[in-house]
Amino acid sequence: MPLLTKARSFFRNLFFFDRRDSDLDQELRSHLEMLIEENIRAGMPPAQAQRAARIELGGSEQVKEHVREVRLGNWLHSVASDCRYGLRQLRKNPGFTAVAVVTLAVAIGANAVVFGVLNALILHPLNLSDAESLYGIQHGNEASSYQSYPDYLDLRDRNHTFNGLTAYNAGQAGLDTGENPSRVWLYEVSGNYFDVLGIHPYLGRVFHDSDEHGANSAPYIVLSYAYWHTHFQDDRGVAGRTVQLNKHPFTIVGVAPPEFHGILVFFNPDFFVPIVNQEQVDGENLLSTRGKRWVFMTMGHLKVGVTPAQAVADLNSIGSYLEKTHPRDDDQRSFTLARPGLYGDYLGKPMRAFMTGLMMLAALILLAACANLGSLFAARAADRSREVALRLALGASRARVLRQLFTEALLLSLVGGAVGLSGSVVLLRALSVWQPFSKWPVHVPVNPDANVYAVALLLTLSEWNPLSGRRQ
Amino acid sequence: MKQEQTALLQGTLDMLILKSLLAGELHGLGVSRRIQQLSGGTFSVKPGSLFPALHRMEEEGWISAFWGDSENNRRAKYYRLTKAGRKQLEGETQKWARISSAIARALETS
Repeated sequence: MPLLTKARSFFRNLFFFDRRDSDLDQELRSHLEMLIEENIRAGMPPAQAQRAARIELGGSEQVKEHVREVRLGNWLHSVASDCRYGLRQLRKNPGFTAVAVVTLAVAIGANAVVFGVLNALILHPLNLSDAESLYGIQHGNEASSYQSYPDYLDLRDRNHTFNGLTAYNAGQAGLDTGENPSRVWLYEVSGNYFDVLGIHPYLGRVFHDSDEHGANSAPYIVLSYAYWHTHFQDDRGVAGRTVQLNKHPFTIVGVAPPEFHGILVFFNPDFFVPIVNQEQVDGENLLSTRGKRWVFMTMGHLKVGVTPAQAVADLNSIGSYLEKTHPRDDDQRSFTLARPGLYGDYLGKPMRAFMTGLMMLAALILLAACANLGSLFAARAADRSREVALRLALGASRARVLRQLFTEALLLSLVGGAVGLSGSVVLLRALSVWQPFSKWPVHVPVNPDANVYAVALLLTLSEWNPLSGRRQ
Repeated sequence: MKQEQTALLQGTLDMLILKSLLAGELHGLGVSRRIQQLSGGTFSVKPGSLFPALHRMEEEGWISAFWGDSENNRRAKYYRLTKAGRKQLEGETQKWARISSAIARALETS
């Protein structure tokens, strides 16, 4: 029962605030009149009676404010009225508001964009399960990852530290599906590629180790989802179709899942073919030439409990075996590990350094904006001392006045943050669909995700702190 | 009838208001005067604490309010004890009796 009464009061306070307030006003007025009558009955002259009554009542506005403060839902109501008042204030000072919002928007927008790129390319670039343990193998003496195919086979079969080692190479070929032949980008991948990476087909099947039986033994194609969508119109009967790749018959066996487009973050191949068929793609059989390092990258997941240092030692012992066994082709074979998503250290290292620098720059912009806005607000606070004094005199408590100022600062930073964030989202989206080179399937996958939104909100709130701090 | 007035103990105002309404409905000034009378002039409740307390207790459901006419035919807001309020008063009275006897005992022992 009391709960029901409370709920009723809550809604009444919220929706019939004006009626509740005029009720209160009338109650206090009748209280005052009764006090006056009482004094007159006690023998005071009317003027004195009134004065005494007013003294006993105290400030009627203060009493009303005290009553409002104990009402249920008062908090919600006062926040709403603070917001309304704050918006009115901001509208009345368009110059100040515009400067503050633009400053905030630029600072927050710049940070959101830079963080968006950082987040997408460096913080978690690979959309794989267990991406943390995936390493690419680089040469020990340079930031390159090319291997010869026989060396790859030795690395794959002789190491004790990887859960399978897979290799891939990018190439171009002519595809004829029966209508207008076109040039396509493809990955030549080792048979264990999909199994090592843990990729399951979206449609049909992917190929495996067991499909490889020597050179040109596995004429299969696994389409990327995007290529299947744009060139095969989502045809679910595509598996089993035979197409001509560089005039050799290949069978499409399946479609890769939509979120998978290889391991290189910014390069989307059209489809995948087994590396044992590279002769049909490249026109020259390189499978047994140890001296020619053409396989773009070799990578795999470290076994559970194996550290990168242990893996490097393992690989280097294979390296010295290779040096000894094939002194003509394999001199100075040592290895390091690197993240495969940005082509190891070749792109990854300068990219990380560049992005870190950019992030620091953006942080500086934010700092400058904070300082600017701080002084802007300080100047404005000096202008408003009269308003604050008036509100205190009219019965507002100090806490209430402070809260109103906080609310106003929060509103301002939210508006600035929203403008900045929407600007940065537009920019990031545009970057994501941008293809800088029309001949290459290169793109910058930096669609903003929840992380970016969270960081932008955090920045917004952190802007709010110095703003309101200056108001004390 | 100048008497020494004492500040109300925290939490006792509600109890006194409930007690003052036990005999029948009263408006705000009536509650204030009744408390003065009940306490022999020791407590006088200022509007600044009386009205917030009345409104809070109304929202708690202990008292209910309605508009009526005063002795001098003036419209005034009256308060009346509800069933929940009566129960509340009983509880508070018992609690108070326990506290005051405990404090009295504590002060007596040397």
